[in-house]
Amino acid sequence: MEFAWSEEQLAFKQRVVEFAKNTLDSDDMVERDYHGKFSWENWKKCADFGIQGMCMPAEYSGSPALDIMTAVLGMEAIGYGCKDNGLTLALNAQMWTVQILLSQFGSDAQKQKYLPRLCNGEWIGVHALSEPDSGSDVYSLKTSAAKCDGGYLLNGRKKFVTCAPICNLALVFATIDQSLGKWGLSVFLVEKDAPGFSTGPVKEKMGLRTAPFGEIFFEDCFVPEENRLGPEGAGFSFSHSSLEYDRCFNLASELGAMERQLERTIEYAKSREQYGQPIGKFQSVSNRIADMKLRLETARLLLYKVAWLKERGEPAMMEAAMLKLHLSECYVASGLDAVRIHGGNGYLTEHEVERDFRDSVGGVIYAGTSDIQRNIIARSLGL
Amino acid sequence: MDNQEILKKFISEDLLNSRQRVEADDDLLGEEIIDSMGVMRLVAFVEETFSCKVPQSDITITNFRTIKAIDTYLAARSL
Repeated sequence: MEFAWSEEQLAFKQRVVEFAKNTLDSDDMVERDYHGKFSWENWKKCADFGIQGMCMPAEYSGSPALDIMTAVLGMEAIGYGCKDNGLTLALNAQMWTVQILLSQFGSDAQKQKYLPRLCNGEWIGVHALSEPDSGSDVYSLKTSAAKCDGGYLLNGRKKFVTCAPICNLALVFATIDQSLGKWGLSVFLVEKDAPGFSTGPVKEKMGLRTAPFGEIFFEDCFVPEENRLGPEGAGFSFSHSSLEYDRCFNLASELGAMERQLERTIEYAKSREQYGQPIGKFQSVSNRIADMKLRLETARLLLYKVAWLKERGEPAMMEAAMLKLHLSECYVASGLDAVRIHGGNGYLTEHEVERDFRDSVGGVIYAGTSDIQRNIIARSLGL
Repeated sequence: MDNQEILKKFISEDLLNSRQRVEADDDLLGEEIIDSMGVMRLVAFVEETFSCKVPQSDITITNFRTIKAIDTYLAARSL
């Protein structure tokens, strides 16, 4: 068993941390969070640095693709160095639920047309799966794709789509035959200018406010045959594939955020004095910090295990579910501990402690709730 | 044991906990004898047992609807 990273990998992580701290950090974070404002400027800076293209073939991204383990380290570094958790969510959503599917299952023409624009930050691609009546029971979705001359007509509505209001391209799951259930699902690449495609307004939400969520509507939206991703009926399999990647990489950024949060909390516990001594000397405070450290390190082990399995091309369904469940719940628990330790200051928005806590809550809901993860684990154990 | 028997045994005993004995023509997916999780476990079993990699784009109702269909899919792959 080998737990060490290579010098090259650690150097890469450090470069990403420095990029994130020096380039993405801005004084207007509190204000942008309040107004729910996405930063196109930082999105493009990330693309220029090579974030969006880090796992894409060089012919589309301009630089060699990184291996999965190193990419996980990179996304962890972004989460650590960048305080804008909405931006890291948006990055991960595009990279692991749009680009990776395009790269693995797209035709050469599809890859050539879309991947360069997604990698260079010109476009934002979104993953449109959930619907008003299909959340956890996601494969009961109703958006239909009816065959027509030269392609398909899409009708339906998608909900909770990360970056929908600002997207250029949507990877849409629709059924070609409702009677086949999940086996009737196919995937389509739909551009925002397609006739019959429209998006709703930004939905206000508790956290991750800088990543605009919204709905997408399809009204007789024509999609040419060449914009179907993979064969008809492959939607179920593709969604499973992307969910494992999404859980792994998005959680890597959350792990980075947890480490940033822990370091800041330790610093506060050392410098803040009450009753004549640093508050970290009180066990009620230091015990909480010990718990935060334990959550961080146990989550880290699960994350690296999943990345290692994916790197080797091995199934990681149960391991990814355990990771998603554990890390997201730990992030919430540690976020609340950080607020408690910072006391009144932690409760005030201007100190930027409560934002991480608000941002963490989404993680126990999106990409499969904690209870769905428990179901997956139990079923994997033969129950 | 031939491929179909191996698959019948795995699906009946492991996936269905011996609650149901499946036959080669049973509609595993259309009648939801196997759910989403079961399909992914079945794919992992096929890959390990028959030493092959099943691409994600091959996990469709055409290839996995029945034990016969899986057998046909495996036979086509070995050609």
